[in-house]
Amino acid sequence: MAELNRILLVEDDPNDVELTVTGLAEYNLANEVIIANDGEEALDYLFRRGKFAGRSGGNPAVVLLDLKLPKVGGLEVLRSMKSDERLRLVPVVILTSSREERDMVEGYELGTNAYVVKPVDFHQFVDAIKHIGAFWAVVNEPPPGGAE
Amino acid sequence: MSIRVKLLSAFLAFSIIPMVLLGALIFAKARGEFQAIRIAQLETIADLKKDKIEFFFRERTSDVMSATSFRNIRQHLPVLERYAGDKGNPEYVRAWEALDDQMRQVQEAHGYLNIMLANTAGTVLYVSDARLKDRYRDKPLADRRAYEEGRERVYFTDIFRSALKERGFEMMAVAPAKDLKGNFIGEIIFEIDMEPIYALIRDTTGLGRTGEELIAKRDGDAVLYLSPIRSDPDAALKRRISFTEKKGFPAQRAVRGESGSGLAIDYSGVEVLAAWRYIPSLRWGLVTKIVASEAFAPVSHLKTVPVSLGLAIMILGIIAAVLIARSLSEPIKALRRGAERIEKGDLQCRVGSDAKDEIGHLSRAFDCMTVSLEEMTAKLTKKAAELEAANKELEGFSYSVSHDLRAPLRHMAGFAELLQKKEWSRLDETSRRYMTVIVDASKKMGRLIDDLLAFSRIGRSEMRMVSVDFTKLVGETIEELRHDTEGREVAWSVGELPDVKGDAALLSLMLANLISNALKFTRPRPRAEIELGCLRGQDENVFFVRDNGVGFDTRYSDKLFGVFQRLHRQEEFEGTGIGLANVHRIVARHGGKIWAEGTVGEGATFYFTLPGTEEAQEWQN
Repeated sequence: MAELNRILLVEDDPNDVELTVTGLAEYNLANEVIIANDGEEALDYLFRRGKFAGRSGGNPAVVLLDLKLPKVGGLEVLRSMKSDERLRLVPVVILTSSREERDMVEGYELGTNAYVVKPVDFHQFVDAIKHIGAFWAVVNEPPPGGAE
Repeated sequence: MSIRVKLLSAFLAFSIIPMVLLGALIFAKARGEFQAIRIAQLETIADLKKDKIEFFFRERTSDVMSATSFRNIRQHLPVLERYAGDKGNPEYVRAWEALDDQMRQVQEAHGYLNIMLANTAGTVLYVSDARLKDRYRDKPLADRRAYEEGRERVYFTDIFRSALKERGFEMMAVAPAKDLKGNFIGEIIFEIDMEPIYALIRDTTGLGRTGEELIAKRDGDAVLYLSPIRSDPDAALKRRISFTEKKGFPAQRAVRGESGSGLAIDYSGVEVLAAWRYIPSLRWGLVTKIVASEAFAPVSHLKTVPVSLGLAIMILGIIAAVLIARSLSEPIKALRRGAERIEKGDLQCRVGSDAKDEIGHLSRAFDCMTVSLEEMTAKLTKKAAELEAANKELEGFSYSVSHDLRAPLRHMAGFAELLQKKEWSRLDETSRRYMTVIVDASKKMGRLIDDLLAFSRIGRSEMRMVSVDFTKLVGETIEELRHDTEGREVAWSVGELPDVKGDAALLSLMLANLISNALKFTRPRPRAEIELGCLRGQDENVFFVRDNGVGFDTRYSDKLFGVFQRLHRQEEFEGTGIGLANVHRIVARHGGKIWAEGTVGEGATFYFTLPGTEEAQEWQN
């Protein structure tokens, strides 16, 4: 298996965090998952500020982004990333419960790379997580300048 | 056409045209009457002149007649003849002097130019005018016809140029002289000056400036003028107009023996009013005439009256029409401006005027309308705001359903599965079933929530109305459902379907629901029969989807289209019961109707109507 790249999971619900991490772990993808519990924390990590000031490592290989987040919403995080020169190229996968069309449209307009609705069925959910993790963190070549 | 143009046209049509016609009619009538009066006048004058001429010549006749019985002539004419060769004889001299005495008296009394006496052979024996004595005496009478005629009766010669008067004309009257026994003894010749006749016809009193009279006689096939005419003082015995010429008609008629009057072309080609008379005793024609333009001059003034009156009325009428048009169109224009402002949304705009006329009423009614429009708009605006708020709330609701209800479900299902996996070996049969139920129920609730959200989206999504080829859409839908029919025998029957107007995506979803329903409920049949068609209705097209499936009891048909309403058990046919609710909502959003007929065990038919395109309506006809 190829060397794993870092995954940033932005998710406020601990249950979802646990299920997602479980899903990733099932396929040995969980070793480099960083959890951000809200949008602000995600931005702090990405922009290396607050408690993440001076953190090591480059940009994550992929950001798994929930939309409904405390403080700063998921779409806000996406907008900040896509308007930043260094983070513009980092792949983002929106991973959410919402099937709302306006969320989808806005997500794609802001430049998300994928939009995945979390299935209720656990098997399907795990399947989806596995595929996302495998594709973005293993198969996909990250943009140049990502890792340090 | 603007009000101004309409008013002007109406005014022209109803006032000026009749007035002009009336004026022309009055003019024609006045001219006709005036002509009659003028003609009567001319005829009176002509008759008068004719009488005077005839009287003149009757007098001349009676002069000559009385001379025939002069004793003097009976006595002395034979003496003059007897001593014609011996003029120095005292008998001759005495006879001459006696005759001369009387004849000069007669000549002077009646203005004759000359009196002559001739013997039976026509040789002149006596001449009263001394200047002519040597010229005529002892010579035969030059005019032999006069001599022949004069033997029997009083005869007047034609007019001829006088030898005695410069530029003068005369004629001769010849009569027989007789002795007491009535024997013809010679002829008496009077030379009559024409000046009194010419004076008579020169007198144009009562005829006006262009009035003229003339006399003429027939000379072969022509008119020969006997008197001077206005344009030609030397016309007498010189001016001739052939009967073939298209002028001088009054004279032409008169010399041919006619008497009459009317409008005619005179010798100079001018139109004249004329009266013409024939004088049989002289074989003369007499014409009294006046140039028509002068004759009608008093009437032609009549023409200027209606014309100037018409012009005046026209100008006044145009001014009036423009003013009336303005007074009509200004308030209407104000109304129109108001209407345009209101149309642009200015509902505070008021156009009411105080005018008491219909337009005033209209403007006030218009204001009333605007007021109620304003109230209605306010109400509608309020309603729309309420509706929008409700919609927002609903959207928020479905958004939170989407997010917040699905997450716990996912957790329930997820952790139940993890628990199942972890503890499966330690659970007994009952506990294992409980776990399965928990997982299945969560999944089902997830489906229900998804369906409900989709249903809500169908009701809220924006519709893009286009013309849809319905036959093609049906074909595509059947093709998409092909994988559901694998291993089954399905007999499709799709009739010709008219195009419809609607949202292609929603209509596709509706067809997918109806057709997959039909496929689902025909599953127990060895050979499924599914028919799609269209019935031509009176006002609309009725589409239908018919199957030979398990059918349903028509009593429950109104329950078919409710959300999560099912007529079959889950074990028989899967599904949440949202499909027909979606179909119903899509048809309703297109302004159509849907209903169903069915018989248990025999099949079901779903009917629906959709708005047609124009082409579809033609198809219907």
